[in-house]
Amino acid sequence: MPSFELDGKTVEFEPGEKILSAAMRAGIQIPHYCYHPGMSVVATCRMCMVDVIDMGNGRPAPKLQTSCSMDAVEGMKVETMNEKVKDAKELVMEYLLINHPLDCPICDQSGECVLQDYSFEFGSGKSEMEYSKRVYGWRDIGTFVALERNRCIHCTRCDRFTREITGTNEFGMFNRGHELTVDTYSDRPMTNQFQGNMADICPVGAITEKEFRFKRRVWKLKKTPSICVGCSTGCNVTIEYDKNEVFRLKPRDNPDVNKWWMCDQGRLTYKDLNIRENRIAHPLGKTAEGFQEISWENAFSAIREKISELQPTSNEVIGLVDTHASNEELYLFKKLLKEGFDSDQLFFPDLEWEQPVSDFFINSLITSDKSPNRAGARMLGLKGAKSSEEVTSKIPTGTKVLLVFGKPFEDENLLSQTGTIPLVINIAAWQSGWSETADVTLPGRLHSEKDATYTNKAGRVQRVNTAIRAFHKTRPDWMVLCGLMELLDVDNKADSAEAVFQELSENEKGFQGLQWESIGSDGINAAQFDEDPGRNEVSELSKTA
Amino acid sequence: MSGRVKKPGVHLAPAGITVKELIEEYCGGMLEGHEFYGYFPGGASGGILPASLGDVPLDFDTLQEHGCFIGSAAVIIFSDQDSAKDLAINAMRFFEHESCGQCTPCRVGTGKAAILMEQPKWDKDLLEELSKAMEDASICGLGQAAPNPIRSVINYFPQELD
Repeated sequence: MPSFELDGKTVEFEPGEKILSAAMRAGIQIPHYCYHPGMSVVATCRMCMVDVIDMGNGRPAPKLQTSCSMDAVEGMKVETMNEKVKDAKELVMEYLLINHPLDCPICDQSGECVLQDYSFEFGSGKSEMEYSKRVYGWRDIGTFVALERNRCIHCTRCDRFTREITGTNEFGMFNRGHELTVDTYSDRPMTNQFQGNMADICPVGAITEKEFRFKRRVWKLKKTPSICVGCSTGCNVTIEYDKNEVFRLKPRDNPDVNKWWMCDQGRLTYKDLNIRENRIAHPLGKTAEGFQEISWENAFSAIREKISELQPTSNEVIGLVDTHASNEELYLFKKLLKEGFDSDQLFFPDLEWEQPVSDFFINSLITSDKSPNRAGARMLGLKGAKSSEEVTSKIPTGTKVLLVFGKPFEDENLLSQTGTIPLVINIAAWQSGWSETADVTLPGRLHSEKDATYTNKAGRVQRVNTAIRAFHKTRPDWMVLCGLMELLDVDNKADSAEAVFQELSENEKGFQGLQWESIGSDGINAAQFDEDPGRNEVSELSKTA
Repeated sequence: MSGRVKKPGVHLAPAGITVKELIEEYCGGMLEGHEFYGYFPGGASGGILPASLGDVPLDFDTLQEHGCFIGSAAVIIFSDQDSAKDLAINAMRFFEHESCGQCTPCRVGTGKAAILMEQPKWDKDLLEELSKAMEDASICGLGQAAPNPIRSVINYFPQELD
């Protein structure tokens, strides 16, 4: 690989790569505002200026160069922090702050603002401008984000975002000179489904998420890497929370899954993580007086008694699972049915789903499959059922035990039919028709409250981590399933989600050779993945999807 | 040629001619009652030179040492009845208006330079700092050359600033 010298250090670069991106890959930070690796280079902020003292031919560049736009050349020598560069940065910083309102105390970006950081690091700390700043009024620019134009430093990232990333061309730069401003065309609020990304890429507080405005100072937020479970894409996100309350989801950059982006719908799923009302907080038993809170011991012993009384044969046990269950849960559930009851009657909703295919990558992030792990269920060889009618036909009369994980196939006919089954067990985090039907309900947890792995639509196995403390009487779902296995005398040694995953990777060929640790925060491709026959490529998601 | 001359307009003259020759031989001399005081050798951004430098040959690379350039060779003549400072402010307002706003130094610099130049007393140090940043960091020639009028006034017309 060719290399050049940056502040005396040797930095390798791909042919055609710019100085800035090569430096960033080598872990050297060159300050910048307008440059974004996902978008075209405009070199307008002038913050990434460097001094090229040798252009690779023994001659220095005549002036300071913008490192974001200058090709790296073999043998080049670049200085990023000499006096000349420092002066230029200091002046650019001062210029950027001339019209900036410096309203950090009320700005949501404060704490994660690049303008703050660079001002602290590279600024002079003084302003010599005693004259009035230009002031703009408030504008409504979209459903998901708010615009505060006074804070804008005109890096044009938002403008390039709607042109190059979403292709919606809703946003632009208007006027010229010092009256340059960002706005939407024809005063129309934006309608694209990825506006939240504009708040992410905005280096200052000009564009902020409406959802997050004035909710929490960002330095109070704790961050846990996770994935979005809003659909089968599994965008990599960071769950940001404080005092056990989730405030927002931010995309984590992963070139193999979501690049830098995620959709607004996905961001809004943070609300579900805070809902307490419809959650199942403790084991429930159905009695003549209705549902009663019971202890785990009582729940398990009630189940044991009932099963020994029923003595179900392999045909008389049915399992239903939704695809919000993680790989570990699906695996344990399958093992429970197989080894506990010798049954393989485990069904998951195997629906047709739409995958948008478009010239703009970002549109492919939203699929119509609103569950995170259908691919995992297919890879583990569970039986798919297209509809609740199909499931109804699969449940023979005389079925004695029905195990339901989550809330699959929620349908009145099915629910009323299963009312005659002597033992219905529901393991779920959310209340549903199933928890109201079940004889015993065992509380599970959400993906933000447990360690687990999910397999996305392209067969990428990704991890989620415990961020939020769940209700203290709930248990991680793998533990619930292990408890059921114990009372059925199934051989089980797993004592953590990680151990379950190791067992799974040893026994399931799709997951062969995968290690919990090697999944890391970026995920890893499954050993073997067949394209989902239910995947339908469409140019645009249909309205019903 | 434009400004305080008898025959302004487009004239064809050999490169290397001086401005005094231009005024006398091509433009019929200065207007009545006006005395040659200074000139823009090359449009709004080429800088401003005083009458004392009226014998410098006008050509590529001959004006560099005086901090100016021939640019478009659109020469503007002004007289003792004009103020170089006011003309520089006028030029800076023009740059402020013409700046596309893309890069930071030019977008902010031209606007703020115009404000600073409108003050009764120029803050020379601050204007020089501003000029340097615009010259070093702007993308295109507009921002890079916009400080020329400021520097010319400071260098050649200091009497107007006191």
